[in-house]
Amino acid sequence: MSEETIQDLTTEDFNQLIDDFVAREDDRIEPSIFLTAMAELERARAVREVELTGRVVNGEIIFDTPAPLLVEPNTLYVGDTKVTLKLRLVA
Amino acid sequence: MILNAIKLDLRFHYEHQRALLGYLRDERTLRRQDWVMLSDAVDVLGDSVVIVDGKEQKFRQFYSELIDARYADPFLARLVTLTDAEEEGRRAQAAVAQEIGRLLDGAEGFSRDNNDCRLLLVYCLYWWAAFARGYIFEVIIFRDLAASGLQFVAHDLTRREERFASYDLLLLGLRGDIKHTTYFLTADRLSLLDSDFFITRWYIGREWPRVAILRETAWAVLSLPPCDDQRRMATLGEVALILPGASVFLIDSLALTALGYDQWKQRVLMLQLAGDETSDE
Repeated sequence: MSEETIQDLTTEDFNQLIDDFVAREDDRIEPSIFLTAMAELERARAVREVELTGRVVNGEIIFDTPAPLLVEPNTLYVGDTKVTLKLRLVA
Repeated sequence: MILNAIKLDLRFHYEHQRALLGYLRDERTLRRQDWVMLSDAVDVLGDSVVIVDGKEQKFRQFYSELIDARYADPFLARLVTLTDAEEEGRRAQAAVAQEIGRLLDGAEGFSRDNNDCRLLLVYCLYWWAAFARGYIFEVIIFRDLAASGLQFVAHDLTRREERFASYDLLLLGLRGDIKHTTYFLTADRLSLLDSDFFITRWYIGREWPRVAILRETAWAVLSLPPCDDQRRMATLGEVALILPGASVFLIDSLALTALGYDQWKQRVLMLQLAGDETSDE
């Protein structure tokens, strides 16, 4: 892999890069390479514990902000995962 | 739309930029550590901030509200009507990607000469590609299962609320997910998924054979005489050598079985036909 970054590209080269990526088929990577890399990443990642507080208003969970995660009513984002809360009231 | 400013997350650094460019140019050139860097780069970019029309939001929220909300449902509505989901689907995917580029180009304050703007475009196109490729594969698999005579209940991916269901199909009482790549096979991501089995593709050399990945619950249902428990223990690297035969491999401490897709379909069909005969008696 070269030492270049996206910043180093001319606008023309960047546009060509984007055009090629858009037309590209699928990622050609053997699972053992990718998954071993991800296992390393997961092992290296520190365990982080966060606490979300909030209140229930008209059936919606409103998190207190600022929050340690990106939050919206009934929704929070953890990494690339959007978590939508759908809770039921049980008497 | 006015793009007021982009504030890259302070954790985003040179190695991230390098890995992103390497991936965009040719993902085959990435070494193991480059994949770690790429994954981190996408995460960190997602935490970066863009201010549009005075509203501050993270890249991932921008993608969700501006790209997914605008393009996802129409793309899926069209995808399910295409005769050749693979070829025509890819063309539709590319057309939307071009449209995303034009949408950003049209925003006041956006310029492809600016590195931060480039990264916002790259982030959007990265996730759009992942989204579209995933659903194209899902449609292909649904059609193939139906053509093969399997009985299953699939979620309706043109209905947004069903699209976000925790599994894609039900079959033999098992919950299944269709995954375009094996990227989900990490301990972190698997812990978020509760499906009993997954249909995916396992890149080997220049080919992507289809594979079923089964949790132990699903394997218990599918292990049939005379092939009862004919599985070999394997490392991740060895799975490819054993396919389409069955092998057991570990992700963290989780045992998963990989089995050729056609072999998996045969087992499912046998069970479903046996079930039909029993209910006919």
